[in-house]
Amino acid sequence: MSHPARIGGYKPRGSGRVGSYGPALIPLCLIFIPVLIRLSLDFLEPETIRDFSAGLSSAQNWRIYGFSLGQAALSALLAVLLGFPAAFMSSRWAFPGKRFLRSIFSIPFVLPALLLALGLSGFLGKAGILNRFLSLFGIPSLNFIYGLRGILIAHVIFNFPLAARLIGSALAQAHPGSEEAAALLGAGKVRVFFTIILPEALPGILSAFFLSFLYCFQSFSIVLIFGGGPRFTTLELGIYQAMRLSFQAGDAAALALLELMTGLILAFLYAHFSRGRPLMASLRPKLLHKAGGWQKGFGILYLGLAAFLILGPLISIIIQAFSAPSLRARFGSPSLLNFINLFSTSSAASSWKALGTSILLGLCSASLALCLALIANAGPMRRRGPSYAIILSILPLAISPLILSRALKPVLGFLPSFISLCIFHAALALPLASQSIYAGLAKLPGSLEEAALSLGASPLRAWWEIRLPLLKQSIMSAFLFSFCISVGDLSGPLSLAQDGIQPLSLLIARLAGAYRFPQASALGLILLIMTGLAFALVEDA
Amino acid sequence: MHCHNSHRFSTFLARAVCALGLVTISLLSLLSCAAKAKDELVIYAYDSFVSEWGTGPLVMPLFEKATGIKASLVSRGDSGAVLAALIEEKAKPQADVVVGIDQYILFQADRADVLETYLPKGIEDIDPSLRFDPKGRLCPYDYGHFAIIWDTQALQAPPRSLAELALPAYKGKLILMDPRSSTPGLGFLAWTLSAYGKDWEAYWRSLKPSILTISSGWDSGYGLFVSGEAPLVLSYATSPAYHRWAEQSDRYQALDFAEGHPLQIEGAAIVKGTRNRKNAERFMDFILSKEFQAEIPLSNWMYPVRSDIELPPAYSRAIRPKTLPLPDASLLSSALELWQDVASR
Repeated sequence: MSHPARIGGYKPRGSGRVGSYGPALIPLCLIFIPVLIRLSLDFLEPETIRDFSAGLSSAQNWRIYGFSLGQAALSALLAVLLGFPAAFMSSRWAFPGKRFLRSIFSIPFVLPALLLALGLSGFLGKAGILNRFLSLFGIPSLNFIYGLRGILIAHVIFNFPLAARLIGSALAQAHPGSEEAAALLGAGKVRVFFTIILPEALPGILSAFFLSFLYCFQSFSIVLIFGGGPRFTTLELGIYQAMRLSFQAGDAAALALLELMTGLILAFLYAHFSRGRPLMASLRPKLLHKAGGWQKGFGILYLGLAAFLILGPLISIIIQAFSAPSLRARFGSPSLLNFINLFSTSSAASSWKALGTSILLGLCSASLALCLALIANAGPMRRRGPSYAIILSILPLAISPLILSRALKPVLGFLPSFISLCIFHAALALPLASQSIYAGLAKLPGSLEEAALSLGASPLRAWWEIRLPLLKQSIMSAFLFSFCISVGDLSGPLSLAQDGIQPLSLLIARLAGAYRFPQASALGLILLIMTGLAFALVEDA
Repeated sequence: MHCHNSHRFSTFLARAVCALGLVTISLLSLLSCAAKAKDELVIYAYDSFVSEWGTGPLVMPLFEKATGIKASLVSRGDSGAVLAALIEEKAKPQADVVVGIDQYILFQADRADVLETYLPKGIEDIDPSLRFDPKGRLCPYDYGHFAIIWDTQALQAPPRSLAELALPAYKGKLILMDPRSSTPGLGFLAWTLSAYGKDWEAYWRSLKPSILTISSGWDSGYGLFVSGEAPLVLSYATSPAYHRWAEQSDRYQALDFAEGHPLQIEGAAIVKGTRNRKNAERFMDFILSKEFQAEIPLSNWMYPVRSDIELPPAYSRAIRPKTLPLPDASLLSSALELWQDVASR
C-alpha cells in the first residue's frame, strides 16, 4: 500500500493545524523547563557570570568543543558508510543469512559504559580475542583500540546498526515502481542507483548521520578509555569536572550551554530528516530481487564483517561472564561460578532484588514515557499532520543525561528514589517513544477515526476503540525501547538513587568498584539478554 | 498473516500497557504527597562505602544497636559528587554527617565552608600526622597509599621508581586514571607534583609514551588491567591484599617506589547547619570506636586510623611505602587546570 506522496522518501510539509502543536509541547515543556530553570538559577550568583564568560573565552574549552564535534562527525560518517550496505541489501536483495543479519542488527548496546569498554577491549584489546587469534599465526599483539582510531571503532560499532535501521526504513518506504520504470527505460544499474535509490535513501542517510553525530557528541567514558589520554576529551567530561571537582557552576553552565545548543541543532536536523520514520522499524522490504552471483558474494562478505563487529564485544562479555574468577588465565575454563556467586550465596537476595527493581522500574518508566508520548501525539489524526510537532518532541534528545539529572535533581530530590528514577527514565526515553508513536500515526488512514467521531463517538472513546488498537505495533515498540533505555541507564541511579534502591546497572557498577569484575560481566550479560529479548519482541511485533 | 486470536491479544496488550501507564501516573502523584520521615540521622557517603561490599552495611547496624539512633546512609556517587551535593544544599542541608572527604578535596570543602568543627572522643589517641584538617572539622577514619600495581605474569622486570616508569621499556604498559574524574587519578597528579615540584610538566611529557590509556574512573581502568590489557595500573597499595584475601593469589603486587608514595587520608565531619547535632556527634564518636575501625581493612581496603586494630593476614601483601608530603593546594589546583594541555602534548 503505497501513497504517491511518499515517493520522494518523505512527506511534503502539510497544512498543520495549530491545535496539534499543543500536545507535542507538553513533553517538551516537562523536560526543558527544569533545565532552563536550573541554568538560570545558576546565573543568580555574580561569581557564576564571571566564570561563565571565562569559560566561554577559554581556548581550552573551545579546543575540547572542536574535538567533540570532529570525532563525532567522523564517527557518524563511518557509521553511515558501514550501515548503508546493510540497509540497501536487506531492502533490495534476497540472500542467505539475511534473517541472521536482521536479528544481529537488533542487538542493542544499552550497556553501561564500563561493560561496553570491557566488552570491546576483550574483543579488540591487546589481550583480546582478535589478538589471541592472530598470535596463533605468530603475529605479535597489535594495537587496535587505543588512540583516535579506538574512539572511532567503538563509536562505529555502537552506531552503525542504528544507521542501518534508519536508512533501511527510508528505503523500505520508497516506491519500488520508479526503479523498475527507470530500468525499463534503459537506465543502467549505476544510473538507477545514483538517480533514484540514493535520493530515496538520502533523508534516511542524513537522519542516521545526525543521530549518530548527537550520540557520539555526548559520549564521555568511551572517548576517555579508548582515546588513550587527555588529548581526547569531550565536552561532557568538561562539564563533569566543573561540577564535581572544581565546583565552578559558571564554567559548567558555559559548557552545558554550548553542548545544549549544539545538541539542539543536531536533534533538530535528525528530527527534520527522519520525520515519520521510527528508529525501531524493522528492515522489512517491499520488493526483493534474488541476489545474483557477485551480489551474493558481496552480501556474505559484508554479513561476515557486520557480524564480526557486532558479535565480537558480545562474545567477549559472554566469555568473561563464564570465566572463573581465577587469576591464572584470562579466558579460564568455562564455569558458572560467577552466576553461582551472584545468585546462591549471601548476595543472592540483592541480585534478585536488583533484577526485580530493574524490571519494575523499566516497566513503570516505559509506561510513563508511553503515556506522555501518546499525549504528545493526541492531536487529530491526519495524514499530513504538522511535521514540526514531532520535531518539538524529539528536541529533548539534545539534553545529555548528565545535564538532565542535574536539572531534575532539585525537582525530584524530595521524592522517593523509585519515583524520581521512574520520571527521569521516562524523560530520557520520551523523545524516541514519541517519535515511534508519531511514525505509527503517520501510516494510519485518518478516515476511520473521523468516521467514528462523526457517528457520535466521544473523542476519548474514538481514541480508546480506534486509535489505540491501530497503533498497537508502535505502542509496543515505543514501550520496549523505553524499557531498554531505563534498564541500561546508570546516570540516573548514580545521581538520584538515595534510599537504598539498587537497579542492575548500579549493582554492576558497585561490583566493579569492589574488584568483582567477573561477576559484573555475568550480571551485564543478564542485562544484555533482557534488552535483547525486548528488542526481539519489537522485531516480531 | 496474523490469526484472529493473536490480533486480539496484541490489542489487549496495547491497552494494558496504556492502562499501566495511567496507573503509574496516578500512583506517582499519590506517593509524592506522602512526606518522608525527617527525624533520622542522614549520612552522606561515596558509593563504594554504601555498597553491599563496603563498610556501611557492616557498621550501621552496630551504630543503631549501640546508640538506638535511627540513621540512614545515603550514596551520592563518588567523593567529588558527595561534596558537590553538600555545596548545592548549603542553604538547606539535608545531611547531618558526611563520610569520605580526603586531603585532596579538603581545600574545596574549606572554600565552600560546609563543615562544622567537632573533636570526637578518642581523637587525641590518633597519630597527629593523620589529623589532616588543621581546623578540626574532618576526623580521619582510614588511610592508605596510592601505588602502581604490577601483573607479575605479564612483565618480568617492573619499574622501581616514578623515574623508571617513564623508561622506553614500559612503552604502552601503564593504565592511569583521569585526575578530573577519579580520586586515584588526582592522587597520581599530586604524586608527580610532590616528587618533581616545578618539573612536573617535564615528567609528564616523558611519561606519556608509557601510558596505554587514561580511564575516567578507577573501575574501568582496573578492569582493563585485570583483563590483561596492560601489566601496570594505578591503584592502592592495599590492592594485593584484596587479591590475596578473595582469590588466594599473589599475581598482582604493589610496587614500592623510591621517591615515596602519596597518602590518602579519608575523613568524616558534621555538616554545617545540621538539626541533629547531638546525634551527629555520637556518630562521629562511633567512627573512632573499635567496632567501626575493625571493619575498615576488609571492606574499605584501607588502614584503620586506630593503632590497636589487628590487621587481617592478607595485609601482609600490602606495602607500607615511604610517605611523600602533600603538594601545596594552590599548586594542585593550578596543575589540574594545566594538566590536560601538559599531558596531551
